[in-house]
Amino acid sequence: MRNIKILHIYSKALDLYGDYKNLTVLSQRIRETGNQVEIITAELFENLEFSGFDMVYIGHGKVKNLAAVAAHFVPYADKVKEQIENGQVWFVTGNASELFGQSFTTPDGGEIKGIGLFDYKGVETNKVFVSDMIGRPVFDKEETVYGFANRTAYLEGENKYPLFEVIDGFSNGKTPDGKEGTLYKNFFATWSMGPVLSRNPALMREILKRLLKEDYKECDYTLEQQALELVLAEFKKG
Amino acid sequence: MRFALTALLCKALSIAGKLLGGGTDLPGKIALKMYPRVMKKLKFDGKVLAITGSNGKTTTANIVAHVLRENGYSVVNNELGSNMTSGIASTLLCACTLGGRIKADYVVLEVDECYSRFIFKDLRIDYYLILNLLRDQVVRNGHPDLVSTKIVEAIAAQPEMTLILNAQEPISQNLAGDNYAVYFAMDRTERSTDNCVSGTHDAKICPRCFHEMKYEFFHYNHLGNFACTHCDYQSFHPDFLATDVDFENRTITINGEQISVTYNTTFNMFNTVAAAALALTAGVSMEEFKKGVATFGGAKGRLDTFDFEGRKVTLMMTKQNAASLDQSISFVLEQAGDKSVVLFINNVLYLDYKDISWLYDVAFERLHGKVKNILCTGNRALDAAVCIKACDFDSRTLHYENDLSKIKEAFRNTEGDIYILAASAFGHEGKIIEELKK
Repeated sequence: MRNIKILHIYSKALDLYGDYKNLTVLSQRIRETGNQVEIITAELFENLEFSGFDMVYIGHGKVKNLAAVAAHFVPYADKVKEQIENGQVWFVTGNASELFGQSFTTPDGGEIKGIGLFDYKGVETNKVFVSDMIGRPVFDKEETVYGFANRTAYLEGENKYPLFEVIDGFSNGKTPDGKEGTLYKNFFATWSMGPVLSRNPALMREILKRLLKEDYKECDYTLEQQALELVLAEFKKG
Repeated sequence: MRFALTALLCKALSIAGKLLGGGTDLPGKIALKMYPRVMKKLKFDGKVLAITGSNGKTTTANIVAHVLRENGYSVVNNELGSNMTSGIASTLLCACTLGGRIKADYVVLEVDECYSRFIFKDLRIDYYLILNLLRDQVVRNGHPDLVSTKIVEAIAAQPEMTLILNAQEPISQNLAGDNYAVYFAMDRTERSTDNCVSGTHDAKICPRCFHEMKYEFFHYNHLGNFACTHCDYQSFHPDFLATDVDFENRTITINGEQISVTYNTTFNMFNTVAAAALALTAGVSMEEFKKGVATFGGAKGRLDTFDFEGRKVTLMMTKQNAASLDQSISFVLEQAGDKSVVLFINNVLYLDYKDISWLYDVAFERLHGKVKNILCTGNRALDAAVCIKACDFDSRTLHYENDLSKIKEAFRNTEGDIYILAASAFGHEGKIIEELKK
């Protein structure tokens, strides 16, 4: 049995659209496999320590808050990159992806540095963009996922490490290029807001496998799968 | 001449629309097509009041309009909540003379948060009440910061306008800029909580310095007395303060004067303080306010009750908005007897998005041990059920049925009085009622 330790950073500053429920359902599933889980939060202006955690989570947030977070987060760039290169599991939703690129722009036209793990740049538009998305995860192309973006920014630059091959809907960029999110080693990121782990058993399983390794067990996803099938059927109908 | 023709057409279309049962927005929409800056030509004899905010604007606007009418003032208002540019144009062009004069003592406008900046460019607004900013219909609006930048734009267009702001809501309290502002607040009530019990809390950190915000108590969501742990940003001293809120006897004391009201929910008590702050600032006396509010008949169209096989069914319309649904849950929890909740959850807006992330922001956990069943219906019934399951409800409590033709049977499998929470159902809730009555 494992005791999985999850670090949720900026839970108060980046907290939009029910994203934190990703951790609620992930914890439920970890317990269902007979393992234990502990969630620790760390906020803006507090000291961040990543070692000793199995997973780090950052959610989608207000644009102004993201800029404040960047000023606090970027000084940890080397430590963050080291953890990700060494295989720590990260799960990042919405505009928090912008923190991991070269830079991102702000509503007043400023530019803020990211940690530079990826080549992309975040571009703020000040306009709400919404879209559904269905796609196939790169780790299992037999599976289909559903996501929903509600964002005012996009990522500019080639997506070298996509998480999903998009069948229909949004990409990381301004215009659809068939690739969404990021999967690099055990770093997962997606623009899908809200409860993406709750609604997508395939993604939940993959993260559980990477967290639990030999202690992974299959759970009952009947209801979640049925719900997802109904969503996908509506896309087929068009 | 161009104005007179546009106004005349708008009036004619509106009369035709009423006869044919059409929408209230269309005449204004056509008028604005014909003459885009038509509202700039309007002249007001009386005062113009605008009301916005994520939650409570229809009720608050209706309270204010009712108070004014009860005291013999002539009022023009958009009572049915047509609160975007075209709805406002319809209301005003139907009420004005062909010369563009609106003779009413007061114009009371409920205005959409995101559209006020367009409307305020052309209309003179004397008083602007901003009730609160919470995450609301996020698919349309995005997050509250985005909405607040649009409101700042609206305020900038009206430097002479007096603002009426909520001293217990950190995001909108911060919006006054150089405009003159007065503030309202409501003291701790028996229903106030030390921690936020709603699913959404949009101001955990200070909007000025981003450090943690501390709250003395919460009314609902992030509304309560606040102070930043780092800078000096805190609840301002209120010009209008409600004390001694008595839900049982339906009374509230504002600036020392006891007032009788016709409702007993926390949010309508709060709306009353906001309405009083606006009305009194705009020249109404406390005596007039007391007299008017005592006979207020409630907001139209949000609540309906009927019978299903001997059981009481209450239909509650909510928005696709976590705060709105949280308030409906508060209402359900305040009702006596065994009960079940029916969630009617559908795709988002007319564009058919399959998103239900807003539902994950609702504190369904509060229903634990308080309801017999939660039945999820609508075309997103199963997704809603997945969400409820995530809130730790077991399969005995949690039911779902996405096939409306089987809804009768599903209702029979629940116990107690039934509360249907229909989220932005756009009339689809009629299908449930139709099935139940078959």
